[in-house]
Amino acid sequence: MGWKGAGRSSSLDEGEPLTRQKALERILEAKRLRRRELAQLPFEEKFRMVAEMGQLARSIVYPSSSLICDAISRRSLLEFDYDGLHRIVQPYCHGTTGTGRESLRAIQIGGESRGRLIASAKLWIVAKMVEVKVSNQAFVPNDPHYNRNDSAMASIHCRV
Amino acid sequence: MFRSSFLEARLDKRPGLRFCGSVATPDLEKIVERLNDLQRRGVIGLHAIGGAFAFIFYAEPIETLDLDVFADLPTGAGGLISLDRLYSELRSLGYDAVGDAILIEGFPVQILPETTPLVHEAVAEARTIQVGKQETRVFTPEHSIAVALQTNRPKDRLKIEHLLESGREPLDKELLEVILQKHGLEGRWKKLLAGRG
Repeated sequence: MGWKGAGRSSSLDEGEPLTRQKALERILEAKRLRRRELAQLPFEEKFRMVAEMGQLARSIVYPSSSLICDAISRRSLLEFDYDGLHRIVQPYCHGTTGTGRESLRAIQIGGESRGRLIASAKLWIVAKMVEVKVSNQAFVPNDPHYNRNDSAMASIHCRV
Repeated sequence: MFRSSFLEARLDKRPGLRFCGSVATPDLEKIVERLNDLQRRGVIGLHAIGGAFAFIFYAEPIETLDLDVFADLPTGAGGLISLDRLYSELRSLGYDAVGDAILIEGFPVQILPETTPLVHEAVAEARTIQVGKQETRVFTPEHSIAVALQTNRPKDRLKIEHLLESGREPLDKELLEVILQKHGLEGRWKKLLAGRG
């Protein structure tokens, strides 16, 4: 008896019995063919697919959001790893940007950085934050450039 | 516009997560145009797409959060790489910094310096490709492998696996050997191949 779905190859004779091993090989071969077909797509098309995959991931509101809003309401520093580096930030505003990414507007004041630390608020993608922790250390939100109606955010979940 | 009712339905079954609605898909041609414009005006030097998107160019799409662009960046006083002009130019165009990346035309782009001689070589010898009406450059598959072996994180090794399994063109093995030997990466390459069985 043949395996359902495994016998789509044109070389398969109707009614030919398949061993489990052969069926598995055919499934894997079909997968390899599909991957090679995808590899042949134009670069722009592949970029769109990747962007859309990422948009879905970024459109998810993560459970860490409640930690972020907790830190904002308590005026506590927030610690997390981002792009492999440990960051300590003053969180100001959490929401979703116009491109659908759940993000945090925050000023990095400590931890590690690829360049020198700049005392201005940057957007941080929540999906890229790892090991998010609310610090015991409080901060005074006194950034003169802070705009409560952050133009980068299409919707705001919580803010200073 | 992007919206997936299938995925939304799946998310509904996962407590604690929710979907934030549909958004516009970014346009690669516009991003490339903006980068070419920065190069024309001398804000960045010669640049090329590396990282995950270089692998994606030669193989099937994989998930990644940003577009890595390696560039010859101007140095300031004391020989340190200066990103000040780049950031101020991009801000003046309305592009915001997102972590270590800049949101260009709705997609996070990391403009990275040529940190090692290998990356410098990868940029110099990158392949010219067409994106719509724009030309850009992308690391060759051989240089992509070498750079990934140099960084050698688990995700870098996965990208190599991915290319070996779904690459749309055969690798130039002689060229790859030359590059790996020149940059002392043959050991890592042999280890990776041995691990594949």
